[in-house]
Amino acid sequence: VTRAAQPTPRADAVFGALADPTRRNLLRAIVDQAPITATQLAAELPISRQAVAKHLNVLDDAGLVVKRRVGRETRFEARLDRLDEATRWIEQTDAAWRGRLDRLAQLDAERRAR
Amino acid sequence: MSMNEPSPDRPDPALVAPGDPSSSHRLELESTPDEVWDLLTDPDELARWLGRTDGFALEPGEEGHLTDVDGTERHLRVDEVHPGRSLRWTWWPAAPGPDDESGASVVEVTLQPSPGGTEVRVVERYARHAPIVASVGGGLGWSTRFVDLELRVLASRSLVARFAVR
Repeated sequence: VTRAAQPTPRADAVFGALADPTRRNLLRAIVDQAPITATQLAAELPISRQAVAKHLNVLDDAGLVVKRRVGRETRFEARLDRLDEATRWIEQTDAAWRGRLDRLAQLDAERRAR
Repeated sequence: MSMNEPSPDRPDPALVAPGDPSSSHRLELESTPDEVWDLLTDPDELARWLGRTDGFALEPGEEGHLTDVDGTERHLRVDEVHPGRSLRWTWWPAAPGPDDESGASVVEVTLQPSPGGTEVRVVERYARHAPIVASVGGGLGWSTRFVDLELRVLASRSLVARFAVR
């Protein structure tokens, strides 16, 4: 029995975290400027420090960022390997549909040839 | 067409937002939409292009088991049927059981007459469960950009980052 392409709970959290454009902007900023603090992120983006903290929590829960304590500061870095599980669903689903539509085209050709 | 009532443990196709990951495909066939519909839905033909069912009817609300051509086992629920035009269903992995809809996705197949015959469009969207949608999407609004595009962009950056540190 083959298992269907199934997002893991982690991939589900990744999909959820990235469904929000603010969090995507935040993650992009972290990718580009890590390690970076929440205060520095709030200075860069048109949202409050509180909103940054809230979105960072969602990214953290999805495993997309890691926190590191450096002295009195908390700095954030991105963990983009977490995207692998999420992209796997898309790749497997794409491949499955290419196969199904090839078979459908073959059936159509067979029927037309009869 | 009827649709099942959403419940906390059941993904509602209406909750599959534009920002959710998706897989989209298009195919041109020379047959008419009605002929393609027969290919799509006749049980013997269905078994050859999609998979073998346990005999459930292609009517809204019907559900059952489907074994994909490649052996993948799924549970499937028919959401909408517009003969000759479109078909929508929700499916999820058969294991651990039909009541566990984690990993569900919604598939919509649409047929449109085209100058050469019929254009077949397929979109499969990953369906997060209602409580998750509510917790992450409430009041924030959804982007019209597809998350899968973003994933690919970020994944390519990830590759660049991995090579950069080696």
